[in-house]
Amino acid sequence: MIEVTDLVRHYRTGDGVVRAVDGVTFSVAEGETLGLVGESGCGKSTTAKLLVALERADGGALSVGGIDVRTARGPHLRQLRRTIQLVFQDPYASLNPRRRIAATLAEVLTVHRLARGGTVAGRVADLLDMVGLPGSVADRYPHQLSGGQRQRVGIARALAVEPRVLVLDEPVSALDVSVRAEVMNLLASLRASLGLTYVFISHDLGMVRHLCDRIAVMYLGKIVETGGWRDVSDEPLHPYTRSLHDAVPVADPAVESGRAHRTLRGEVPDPAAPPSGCRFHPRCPIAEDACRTDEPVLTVRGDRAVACHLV
Amino acid sequence: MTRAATLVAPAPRTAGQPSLPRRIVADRNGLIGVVLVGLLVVVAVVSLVHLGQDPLAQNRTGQLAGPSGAHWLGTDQFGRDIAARVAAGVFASLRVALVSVGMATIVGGLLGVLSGFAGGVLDAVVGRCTDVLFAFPATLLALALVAALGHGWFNTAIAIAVVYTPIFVRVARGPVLTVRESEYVKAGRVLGFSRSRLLFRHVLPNVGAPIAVQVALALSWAILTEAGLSFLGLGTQPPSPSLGLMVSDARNFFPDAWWTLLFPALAVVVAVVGLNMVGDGLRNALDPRRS
Amino acid sequence: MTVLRIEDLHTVVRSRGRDLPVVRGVSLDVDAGEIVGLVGESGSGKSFTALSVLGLLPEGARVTSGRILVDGEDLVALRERDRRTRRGSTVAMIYQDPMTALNPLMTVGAQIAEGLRAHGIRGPEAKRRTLAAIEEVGLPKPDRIARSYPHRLSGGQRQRVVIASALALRPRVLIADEPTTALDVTIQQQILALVDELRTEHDLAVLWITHDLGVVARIAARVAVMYAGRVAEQAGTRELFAAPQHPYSAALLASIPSPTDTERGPLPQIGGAPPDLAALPAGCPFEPRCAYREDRCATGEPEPVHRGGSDTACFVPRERWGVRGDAMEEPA
Repeated sequence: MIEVTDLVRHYRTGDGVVRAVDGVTFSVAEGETLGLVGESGCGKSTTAKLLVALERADGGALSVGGIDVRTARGPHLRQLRRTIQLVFQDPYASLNPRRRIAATLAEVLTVHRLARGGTVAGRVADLLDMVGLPGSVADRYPHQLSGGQRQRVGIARALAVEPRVLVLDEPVSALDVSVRAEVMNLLASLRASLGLTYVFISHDLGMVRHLCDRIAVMYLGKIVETGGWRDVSDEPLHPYTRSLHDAVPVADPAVESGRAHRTLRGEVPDPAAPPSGCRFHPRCPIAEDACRTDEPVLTVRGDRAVACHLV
Repeated sequence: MTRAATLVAPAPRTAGQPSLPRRIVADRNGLIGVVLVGLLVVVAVVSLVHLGQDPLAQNRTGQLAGPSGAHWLGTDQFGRDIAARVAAGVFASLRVALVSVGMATIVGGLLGVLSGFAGGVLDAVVGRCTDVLFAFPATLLALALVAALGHGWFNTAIAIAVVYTPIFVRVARGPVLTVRESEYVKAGRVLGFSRSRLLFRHVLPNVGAPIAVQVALALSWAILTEAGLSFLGLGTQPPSPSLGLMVSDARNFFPDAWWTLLFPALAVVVAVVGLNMVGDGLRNALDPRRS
Repeated sequence: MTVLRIEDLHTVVRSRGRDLPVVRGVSLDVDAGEIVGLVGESGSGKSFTALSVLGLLPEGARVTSGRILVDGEDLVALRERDRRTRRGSTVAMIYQDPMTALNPLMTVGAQIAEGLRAHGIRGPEAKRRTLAAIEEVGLPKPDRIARSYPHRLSGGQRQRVVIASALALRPRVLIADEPTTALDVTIQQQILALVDELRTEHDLAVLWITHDLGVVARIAARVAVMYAGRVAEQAGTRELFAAPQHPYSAALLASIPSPTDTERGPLPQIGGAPPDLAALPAGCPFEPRCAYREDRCATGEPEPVHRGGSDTACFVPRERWGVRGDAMEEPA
């Protein structure tokens, strides 16, 4: 469903060229959920923007549902819009504050000629029902809804074009803890009932582990490890994935007190001037000389892949 | 209170908000402003129908007479009725202000929205032009333009419009840049909405508020500038009534005939203060955090 | 030894002409050298509780009753001037966004020194203590950091500077308002370790406000869970996570995916929404959403009772929860 090969996105800034996405390769099969994990500046959000053609890549190949995203124009672009959609992190910011929910959803339907005249209201009601909202929400403005309700509207809007792929950019991070479970459950049930393919972007390893089939871990614009959800989250190989695994607090004091809290030193380097060799080497607890000079490539190990000289 | 407002979830309301005029009047400043401006508009309209006195009619026997039953606000050095002249002057001021601010809003607003939304070369060119206009002191620029264009109320209006256009460019462009980068416009792009749909349906409605506030403030400044230009003899020409001109003439008589100075000056003050208060009321009414 | 004691605190916010009760009788103790986690969702009153302790409530909000004792002195009874001198020297705070807590136009060193000067420490002594404070939070080359402006520092370094500034006057109580929420997890880990180290070293009483139960599990010795302006449950961290005594804490914990699940079914969800503070129900505020509610829950608001190692404001003991079968409303 998604084929990404050697994807590159560079930004020119005052400090030089920021390599936000620097040679990323992955694929997602139909019906599969890929988790993209990493810290700020790792390139996961930029990858999301490239997937939905909100920004154009500077290099590499990128196809979604057989459409070449990098060159899509006119009817191909319209087809792409109907194939892949984006759910934003902040549902409040991503809804026009001056429009009622019904108008927001109806606009998508009319622009894509998916409903007209009398059928629009019925379709809006269907969409709201699909995401578990009562029909009365249609007459509300975004500020009259709770955070969870807004995010459901955001999901309904993305589903209005009947896409096959949803890119979920931190869809529960801005929500209250008790609401997160509801939205996660909704995403899982929509995936099952509509046969959707997901790219789930998050810094929350727990949520990624709960929803995803495969996980790709990014660091400074590159994928450092990828594999099945249990392999990557429970038995990580790459030292960065292991550090991430240790750093994420688990809501269980018994687990927490038993853990060795090896604190990862330093911070993510400036992506405009990434370190030589392996980009993780300045922070890596096991780095050797080779790591400072030779950049490791993502190497297949059974059904997973790691970019590290030492594992 | 804004902090409290964000921490306490707003109670759901099914009904929409009250209409904009209602919200302006609900604001104390807005209410006073609307009353003051309304008063002036009534005065200006009355002047059109010449109730009672002709503002141009001279009277050789009743020069510089104080307020009386026949002349409520007294007469000037030519025996003309000050009440009628103030009313006609208010009309003249409002006419210049509305026409000039109207032109500045349309031209400046359009340029600002387009350059903000399109970006690139257009934005750069418009930006440099407004910078150049901003480099001149506003009143001096208006003076120079009137001197070049010649007298008459329409030329005065054009001069004020030119001075105010770059301000509207900036006022419109800022929020366009913000809204253009907002997530709901991005969501619209991902959903395949056309650029014109995004501009007219999503960006413009969110830019109206700051422009409306600026219109009210610009009107007050335009009235002040028109009065200033007339005071200097560059705006409305005698014998046409003008508030600035009346104040200018009254300088020679006011120790003996205070009414010649007080009433036209008061009219200017009421207009400027009233419009500023309407602007405050609008700003409060349009602030989503207060609704 | 108890350093911070909050007794029956009530705080209201003036909104649309009426007083909204945002904190409704919170009682809480924090001992020297102890970290207490204050957990709650938006609108639960956790931030208003913290701001009440600091005396930094926003306009329109005020403490209506209760006492806030630091080493036995009631802060609520103090005049504003005395209150100000306690801020920083007795009670300090660190914030979610370190950038907004720092003045962008002043060097880091000048800002820390300013705090010292406000409490009468000047000249070479202020300089010495500024550098010591920066060094203490693990920043390299303190004199270089002191001369830097906040925007030259990374997010993690800024939060360290805020901590240095907060602790420069050796306060007794530190209020931490979600100081790691805006940070990456590896940086969060560093900051958590730092605060943990500092509270042992200085015998600090720390009140750590967060919505992240993982963070609480990592650093807090005790937890208070807030709901609708009240403490729903208060207990030792291990006790609370092992056997929550309040249905709300139980529901919150259950809704988080476990890192050891092998089958990934639907997460238990709470359903409904927190009550509108302007129209609180007559009974327990959680009753409308509660899976174990009984008749009396709708009529009377439960007072905290000591049960199963925890202080819980619930009528229904954990042993009776099973009667209802499923722990939580199952998603449709």
